[in-house]
Amino acid sequence: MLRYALERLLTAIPTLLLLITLAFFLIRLAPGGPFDAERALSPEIEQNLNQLYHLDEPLPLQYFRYLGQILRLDFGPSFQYRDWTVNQLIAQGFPVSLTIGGLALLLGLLAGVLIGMLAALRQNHWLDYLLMSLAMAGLSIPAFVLAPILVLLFAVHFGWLPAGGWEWRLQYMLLPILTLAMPLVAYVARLTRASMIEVMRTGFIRTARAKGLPLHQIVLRHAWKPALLPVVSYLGPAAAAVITGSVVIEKIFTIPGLGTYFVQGALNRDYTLVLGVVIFYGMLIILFNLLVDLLYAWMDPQIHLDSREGY
Amino acid sequence: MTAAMTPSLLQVSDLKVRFCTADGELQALRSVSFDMQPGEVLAVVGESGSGKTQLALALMGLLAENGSASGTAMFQGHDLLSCGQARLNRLRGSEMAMIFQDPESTLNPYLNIGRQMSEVLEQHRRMPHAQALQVAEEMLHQVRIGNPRECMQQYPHELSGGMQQRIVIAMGLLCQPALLIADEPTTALDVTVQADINRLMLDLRERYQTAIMLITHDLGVVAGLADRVLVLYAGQTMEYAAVRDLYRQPEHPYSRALVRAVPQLDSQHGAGLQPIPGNPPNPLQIPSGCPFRDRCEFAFTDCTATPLLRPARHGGQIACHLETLPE
Amino acid sequence: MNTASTDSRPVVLKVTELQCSYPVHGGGLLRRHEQRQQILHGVSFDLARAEALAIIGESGSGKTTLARAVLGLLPVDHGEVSWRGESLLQLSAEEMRLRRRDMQMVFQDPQASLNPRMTIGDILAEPLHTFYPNMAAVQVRERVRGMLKMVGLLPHVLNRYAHEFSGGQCQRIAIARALILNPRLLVCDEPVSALDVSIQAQIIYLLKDLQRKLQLSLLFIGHDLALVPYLCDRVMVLYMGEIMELADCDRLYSQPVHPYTRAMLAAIPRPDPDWRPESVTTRAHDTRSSSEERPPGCIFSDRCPHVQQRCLEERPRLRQVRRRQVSCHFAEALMADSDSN
Ligand SMILES: Nc1ncnc2c1ncn2[C@@H]1O[C@H](COP(=O)(O)OP(=O)(O)OP(=O)(O)O)[C@@H](O)[C@H]1O
Ligand SMILES: [Mg+2]
Repeated sequence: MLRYALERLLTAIPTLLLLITLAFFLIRLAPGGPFDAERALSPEIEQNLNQLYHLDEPLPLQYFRYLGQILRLDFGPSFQYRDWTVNQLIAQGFPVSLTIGGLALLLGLLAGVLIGMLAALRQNHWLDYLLMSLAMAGLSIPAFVLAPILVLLFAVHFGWLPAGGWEWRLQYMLLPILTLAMPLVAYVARLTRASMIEVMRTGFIRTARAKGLPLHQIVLRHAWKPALLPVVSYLGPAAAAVITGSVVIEKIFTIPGLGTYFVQGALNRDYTLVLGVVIFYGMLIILFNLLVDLLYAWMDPQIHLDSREGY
Repeated sequence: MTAAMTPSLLQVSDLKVRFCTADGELQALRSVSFDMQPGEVLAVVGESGSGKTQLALALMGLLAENGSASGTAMFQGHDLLSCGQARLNRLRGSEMAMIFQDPESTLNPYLNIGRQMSEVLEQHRRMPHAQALQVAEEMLHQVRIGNPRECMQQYPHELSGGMQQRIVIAMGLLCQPALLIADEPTTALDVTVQADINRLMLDLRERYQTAIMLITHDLGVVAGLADRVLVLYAGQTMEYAAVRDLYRQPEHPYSRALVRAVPQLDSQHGAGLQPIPGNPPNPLQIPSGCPFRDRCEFAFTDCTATPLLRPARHGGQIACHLETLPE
Repeated sequence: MNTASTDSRPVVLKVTELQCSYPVHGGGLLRRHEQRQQILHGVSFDLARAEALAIIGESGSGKTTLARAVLGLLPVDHGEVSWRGESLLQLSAEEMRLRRRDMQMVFQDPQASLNPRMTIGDILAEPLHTFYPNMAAVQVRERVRGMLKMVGLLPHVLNRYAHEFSGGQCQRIAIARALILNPRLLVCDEPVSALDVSIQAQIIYLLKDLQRKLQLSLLFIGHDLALVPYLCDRVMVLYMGEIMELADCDRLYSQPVHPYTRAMLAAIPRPDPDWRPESVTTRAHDTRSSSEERPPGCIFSDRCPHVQQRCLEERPRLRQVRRRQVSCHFAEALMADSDSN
């Protein structure tokens, strides 16, 4: 298990390198530069700034210089937020994003799995139809539509919750988390329902019934593992979706998370900031996928990570 | 152990199983009646699609969602077909157990053997986990598994088909049920393993007085095992007789054809392995009259009318218009 | 039955010391070392024109591997397969493809071996289109119809699909497809194992009939000995990739020598109410990894009721004992034993 984890981390290095390279050159393809917005800038000052940040060097040289920095886990200074390094910005924004994203992921999984199981066990019953129609709706309404509706309802109409902004209090988190979790709940519910229905038709569930086990034991002992395996495989993409989603959500609710910095950085051509966030998230997703694989192997005894034969 | 005061352990009458399918209603069983005595081995024999498995599943309350059963099946004073889920759960696994056709898909691949076995005792005998594991291990020993302790820790995919089937048998016998339904328990296994498993079932019947319903398509397999035989064709009883009578003097042309289809080693070449011409009818459109008449060498005009089940000379029952079966 | 004639017929297929293995992946992503699990441990036999040979063994004994190796569908580690005097292992892929016209195969699962999206007519015509692209449509149709008739099916099945047929009918179709190119060798891999007993007999007689009529050489693979005498002239008993006994059917059934052959025969259930099944001690190690550890001596020694010290130490070779081949140190003694009974 440990060896597998180490190997996986090693094999992730080329992936990460590719990500860095692509991100590095793609952002340079975008028109404009980091200091365009400040039009008062005289050519000399701009020259100086470029020199300071090595932007006057040929691109390959910059690239390798940047790689060297990354090796030391140093994402460099931000171009836009003077006196801040990218590392400091990440340290500031990430806890906020993590709280919202993590809770949304958790909510999405819990609610999705519960709803899916319920619908599967009541297959073709009115409850099943109701839950699945809701799930369909949850999937098809985009965040930028859902968020204003929720704000209108809970902030403007009832006045229960703040419409935006950020404090470390539950009121401020509720709406962003809900908006972010909604498509996740819907997708996980559909996934769980489908796999649960399939599992309930297998021979070993029939065996469990033939043993005289009541339904709740059949689900809690025999069905949940195989039924949740597809959900576990979906965790990787789900995490990525949450990260992407959080960029939009943080913008809408004006939350000072990593996503906001990222959007700001992209608009301002803050090369180091954008690159830093992209690479940071890249590493996060790779790590997360590894955890998911370990979880999967723990759940399915037919998988042997150390000798990967057959499966 | 069994509280059965009634003479028979299981009394099935007029059992019908229907399925709703996209192509219309499918009658998998069309009125089947029989009874089983405590400790008896009843063989249910028929070709593929004759309804053998559905008979077993109906008794266990395990029919697919689109299926429904009617009739009565009295087992220890309860009608299995109408007694409700709670009662059924109390009987299944404790008073009646089932072995399925395909051992590979019977066991849960995500749980180890010990867990899957002990839960039966925990459920029905309210045994603490540790004790249940001990009893389960002892039962694995009974079905001649070499290293029961190690086996308890293993997962199904680590075991051969023969081992898995032994475990399923052991699992079924844990609560010493009065009835064990075995649906083609050896069809998927090698002959040598088949011989072992069959021998094992006989021994266990001796020891626990368990009645066994043995389902098969091969009359060769059950000759030495069964007391009585129920021959099914297209969901109907063709003949129901003591095993000796069925092999020595079958009265239904179909039973005799089934006996003669079995390859024979001892006799000279030419005996045995006599094919039954044609194929069983499509279950969605079974012709009226005797369902076997298209393949029967003795079919005559009467056969267009459905033959009723009637007492046979050997003391059992047959459904055939022929007075006597010609040689 | 036809011992004498076997000898006079020319040998078409000759297999010598065949060894085959499958790769088993070991190690992780970075240090991947390939292990191979050996399935066949030096199998030799020959097959004459119009002869039917049965290959019998339990699951995992290597029957199917042997068949696939003979047909060139599997790389061979060691040994030789020659077809009508020509070595098949040296041929290029294209040459092998052409040879394969002469050698056809019928599989165990009749439904799965037929393409569900093709009509029966198309399934039967496909091999003709592949090997004889210039054949006229009329001729193709003629040939397909003739073949259908030969396997006992009516022409109206041509426009239907495999799922509309029962197992027995599908197997007839599979046989027709295999024979449409006029092969000389037909390999049947458990052709009746998935069928009802009543239908088994139909297919066995059909195969026997066709084999006689078309003078086919036949390799019949099965997992028990019950059906063999109805179809085959000789029988090979395979155990864990080695031949235990190879003999004419008459001889093998009237006097089985190898203890494994005897166990296989004893295990066949008799359709006789007075017969009781005997236990045949099944493999001691019943786990999936059975073929990994092979005892240094006789591979059957751990299940053999006649095992001696010598059996545990020395591996017996397959040798000629009175017009049969047996791989047992004590073949003569066992034969004498059954002679006196
Ligand atoms: N869920 C279902 N929906 C519709 N038809 C079904 C269903 N399950 C079984 N049947 C049909 O019921 C009939 C009887 O099936 P059954 O499984 O009892 O056959 P069997 O005698 O056990 O055959 P085999 O030897 O192949 O196991 C078959 O025609 C089958 O197609
Ligand atoms: Mg069945």
